[in-house]
Amino acid sequence: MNSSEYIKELEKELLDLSYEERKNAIDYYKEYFQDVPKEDEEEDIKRLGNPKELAENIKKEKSIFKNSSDDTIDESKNLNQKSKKNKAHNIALIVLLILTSIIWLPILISILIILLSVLLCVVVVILCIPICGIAALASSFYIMMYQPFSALFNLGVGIFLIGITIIGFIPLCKGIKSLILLIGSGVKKIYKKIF
Amino acid sequence: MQIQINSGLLEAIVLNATEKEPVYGYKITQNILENISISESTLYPVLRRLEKNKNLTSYNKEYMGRNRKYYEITDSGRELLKEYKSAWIEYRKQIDNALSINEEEIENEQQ
Repeated sequence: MNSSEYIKELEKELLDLSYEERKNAIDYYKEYFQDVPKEDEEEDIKRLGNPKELAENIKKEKSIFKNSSDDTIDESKNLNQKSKKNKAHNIALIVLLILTSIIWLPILISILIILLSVLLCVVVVILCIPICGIAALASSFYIMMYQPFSALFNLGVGIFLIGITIIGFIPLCKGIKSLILLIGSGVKKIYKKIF
Repeated sequence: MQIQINSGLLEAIVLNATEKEPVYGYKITQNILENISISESTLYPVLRRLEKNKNLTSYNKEYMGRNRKYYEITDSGRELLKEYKSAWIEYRKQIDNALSINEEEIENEQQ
């Protein structure tokens, strides 16, 4: 296993961490491996243990992040009281949410629809690029005999657009992936705050 | 046979590694491994904890066209290190007594 495979494995193992924590850990080890001399890489990976073990170690630490108080007995008492209070608070909040849904539900739905249509527009525009490219390319062959100069122009445009598609494809996929992850962790955060 | 280091001691060791000047992750590991063999996989969690508890701060610096994250000890980190050091001296005395260790005796036996 080389370092980039190791990082990939590690990222998979850390999926249940928050986006921020996962990024922090991955960035640390990416940087770490860049500093390791090439000839030591194999040995260093061996010393780190397999990605799963490393992930376990990181996740163990995660629990300490959340309550850093030294006095654990006091802490658990506090937590108990807090969770009781929180429960009553949460029920009231949920009732309130249901009662007021007449007002916020339509607004929420319209906002979501607007967002979706914007997203759809973007997707359609992006999809147009390869389609136009193919169309221009095809038309250039079609009119080659009658109007060679326009055909040449169409050929150029077609190749250009297809080239953009090929170059843009991988960054676009990566962008979409991180966007989905971002939305996911955002939703998770909101969910955690309410419940 | 090796005695396990608990996470408090590990914190102290990491703090000590950053005490003189800001250092980056790999260098911290190397510095520590020069003196003591520990599992590298426990170092990142300790660094992250110290950072979250504001005993260390970090900043990014460019190095050969890429990023390097440097860790710098804070005043509260120095304070914590001092406490760890004096706690360790006390603890070491207690263990020495509890195991009836007399360094001269052991050295004589080995010779």
